[in-house]
Amino acid sequence: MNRLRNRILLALLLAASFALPRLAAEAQAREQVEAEDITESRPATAEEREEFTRAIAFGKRYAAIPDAKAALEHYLRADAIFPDQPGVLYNLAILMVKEGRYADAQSRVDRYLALYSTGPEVETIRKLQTELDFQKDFEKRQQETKNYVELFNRGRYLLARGEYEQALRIFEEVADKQPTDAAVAYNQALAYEQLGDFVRSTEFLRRYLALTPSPEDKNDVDAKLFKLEAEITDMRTKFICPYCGLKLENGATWCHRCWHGPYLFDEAQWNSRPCLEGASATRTMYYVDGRFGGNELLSCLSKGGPYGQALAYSPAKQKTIRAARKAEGWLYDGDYLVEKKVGDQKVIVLEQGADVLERLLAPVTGDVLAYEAAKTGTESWNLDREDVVIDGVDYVKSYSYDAAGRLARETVAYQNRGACDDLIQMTADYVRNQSGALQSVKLGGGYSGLQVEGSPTVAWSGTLAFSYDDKGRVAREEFVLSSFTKTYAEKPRADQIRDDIKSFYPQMKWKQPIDLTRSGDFCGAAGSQRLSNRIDLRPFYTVSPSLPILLPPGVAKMTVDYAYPEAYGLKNDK
Amino acid sequence: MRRISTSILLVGLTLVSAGAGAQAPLTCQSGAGIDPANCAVVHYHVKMYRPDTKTSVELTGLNEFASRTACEAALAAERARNTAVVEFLKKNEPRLQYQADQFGACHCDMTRTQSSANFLDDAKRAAERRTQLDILARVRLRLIDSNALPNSELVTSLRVPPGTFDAAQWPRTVVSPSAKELAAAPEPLPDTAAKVTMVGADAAKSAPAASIEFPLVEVPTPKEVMVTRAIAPSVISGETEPASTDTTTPAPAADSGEANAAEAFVNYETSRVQAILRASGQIDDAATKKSILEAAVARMQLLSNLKLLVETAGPRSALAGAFRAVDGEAARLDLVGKLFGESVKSHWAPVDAKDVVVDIPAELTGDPFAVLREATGKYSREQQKQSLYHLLARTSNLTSSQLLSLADLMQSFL
Repeated sequence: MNRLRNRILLALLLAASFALPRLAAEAQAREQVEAEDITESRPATAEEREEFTRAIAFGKRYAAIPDAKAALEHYLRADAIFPDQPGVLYNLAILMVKEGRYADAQSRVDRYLALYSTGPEVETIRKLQTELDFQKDFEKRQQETKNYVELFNRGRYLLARGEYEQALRIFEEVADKQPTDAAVAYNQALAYEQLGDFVRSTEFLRRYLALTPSPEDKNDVDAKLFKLEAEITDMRTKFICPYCGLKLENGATWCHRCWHGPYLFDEAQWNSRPCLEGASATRTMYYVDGRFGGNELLSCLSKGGPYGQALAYSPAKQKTIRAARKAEGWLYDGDYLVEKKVGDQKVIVLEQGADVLERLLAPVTGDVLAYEAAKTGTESWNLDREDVVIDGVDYVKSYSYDAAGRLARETVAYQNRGACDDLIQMTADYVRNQSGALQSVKLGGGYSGLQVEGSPTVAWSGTLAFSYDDKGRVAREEFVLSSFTKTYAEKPRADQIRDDIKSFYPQMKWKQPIDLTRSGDFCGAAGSQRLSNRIDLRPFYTVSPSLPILLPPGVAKMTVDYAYPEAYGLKNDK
Repeated sequence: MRRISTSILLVGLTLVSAGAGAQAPLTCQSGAGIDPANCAVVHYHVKMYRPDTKTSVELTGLNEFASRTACEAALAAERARNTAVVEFLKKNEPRLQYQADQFGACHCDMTRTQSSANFLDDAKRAAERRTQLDILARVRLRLIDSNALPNSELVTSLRVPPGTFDAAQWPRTVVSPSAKELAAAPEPLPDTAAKVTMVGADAAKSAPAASIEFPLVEVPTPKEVMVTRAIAPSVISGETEPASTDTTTPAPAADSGEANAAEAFVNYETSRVQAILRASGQIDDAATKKSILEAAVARMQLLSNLKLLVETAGPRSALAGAFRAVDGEAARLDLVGKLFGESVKSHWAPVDAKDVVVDIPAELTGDPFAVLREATGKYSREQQKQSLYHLLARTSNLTSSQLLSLADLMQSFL
């Protein structure tokens, strides 16, 4: 009786794990006490036996069809009528395996082995256990794969959302789980590319190729690698034109597709006006008699430090610059600016030649600005001649360069439409020391007037000198006008002109030089207004960014004093 | 005498050339590969009358325009200026017989094309400008001599007009930007750019079939059956004691932080179903017994689905919380009532085993998903709960999406 009771007790304990075998152990202690007194056996009724036999017979027939699902239902009925029959447990386990209900099958196997450890089906049921173990392992692996794919897809999602750093974190985690998954390496390459780290991007693309020996997209990946490597090289060897965004060879003085420049990053003059706390540039003017003519604080020109420091090429910077131009109405043809529109109207059309920008056309105003250049490097050109418009006056500038490719001489010709239409010539000659630093620039200019005006000849000359501090920074620029004279070769025949000249220069004598340093050069009158050809240093924007100025009459000296933050040093910063 | 004769000769030559020029078309020679109808730069020639020599000179390099419109506007303005001068002088100095300037039409500018006969280098261009300046200066003087006021528009307009090019559209110097200004936010990649992992792609989606064929065994019909007295003592003894005296009802497992919050509940209810089945052994009526068996199998199926649903809802879900919070029979039945309705609740823990059978109206069992989805109020909440019971009791292979939606629905029942 005790044996029977124990058997019943055990059966009931296991029954509790019918659907939840894992809880069987937990439930065991609880039920052991309570069930001991409540279960007992009794003779089976005829109906039970009949029902059971019927369920078994049906189960068997369905299993033979085979219809495992129907068979399972009938064996479950049988188990419900007479629980824990060894054959039923065994058959249930087999049918449950066939139906993929491995957890349920495992509970039947466990119950069988617990109840009938020496039963006739033990040998087979142990093989079934091996099968279940395999299934368990299979499911575990499937779950791991599912988890992996989910994590991978999260990284992919972040990539598509543009959250590249987060995507990289996920892909690093994924790569730890599956180091040979080529797709991870590829996606990491994409993320690094988007973040601008092309070196890392190429590393992962190579890893991708290594992990997929013959990928279908090999050609595409090779092309991408080639492009990225070219970009890496460009990032080391090129800078970007801050106006049009074109990639330029390091050392190029000009952007040959928009003629902005000069990009003289190593010249102290071009690093003299950084936008930094503690940096300043103050222009002071003095009249010929030494009187103070006023101060002017010049605006900074290079944000964040030395000139061009931020201009090392990168695709992202290029994109930003182009976006800024496009926002202004500019259109690009590939890498080059081609036209600017205001509304629907073309205001500027750039004629891009095979190599360089050749002309600028302004269809509305009719202006035509021409450019000529000479090739100096693989992809660099020096501007030989250009038209510069300042206040409605077209200045034709020509440049000469020394053997080292540095600016050596500039000539400017213009018709002073703002005054008397005189045809004026100016020059700037660069003087460098042995190390190439710019010491001074000799400036001069003048013109010959008309015969009807008395054939006047005007000439001026001056020198722009630079002094440097111990860090090689420009400490001061000083322009001194050394002479400014006008000589009338003859007395004009027209009374009107003679009278005008006498009113301009009461002390003048025909055929004698007139000193213009105090008065300036008056060339005519328009009613009561005196027209004057002032010394125009504005076209010389290439000499130094602080030089361009229309010199006021009587000013004979101009200085620009620079101050820098202590730590700002051209050599250190660059 | 020699100077005079030279001058006469020069004037004569100039007049001859002027006479010949008067018939010239005042235009550039075509050719040099430039399409006259489609050239970027146009200009016009002007044949200026010199009041000092009373001759005319053709000047071709004084102007150039980026559009025909701009050219024609400038030409019209210059014509108007010249006309005003001529009219003034004819009126005030008729003896001068002052001649008007002649203007050509706007046409392709060939003066910068080196291969053209009209090509002008910088020196020639400057010389033409100087000639123009000289003529204009002389005309100004003539006007003043003819009593025009020096500051009158007639006089002051005889200057080369300044350009109107807006240099702001084409700044010559550019401020070097900072790195921060140039930092661009990367653009999102297209969805198709990233690769899809092939991990698991070639793995079997379902477990492979067993490697060995396991035959079913013959099952003999047993002679004894186990009964559980405590579940339905009335069935055993023939009395009608209420189930409240049941002392063997298994206690719920304490929350042990298990992965599925429903495990304790399901485990407990599984025991209850088995107890009911054992108690049904005392029933003589085969049909009743069969219906109890079917109800028990259905209840087991429901419990199995419940476990999946709680797992789907997640350990922190309200559903899991509700199962975890069950701490006794009352709470258990309360939860059953909330989820499956009061009518199911009354059959959940029956005093009599045959009461385990739940009768759900056919209209709720035909398409339970349709009943559950119904949102127009056709079915009451109670009916939907019954339908849910039926669905969970009869369905063994719920898909993941079905599990998700059912879990959400059940949470709404709480």
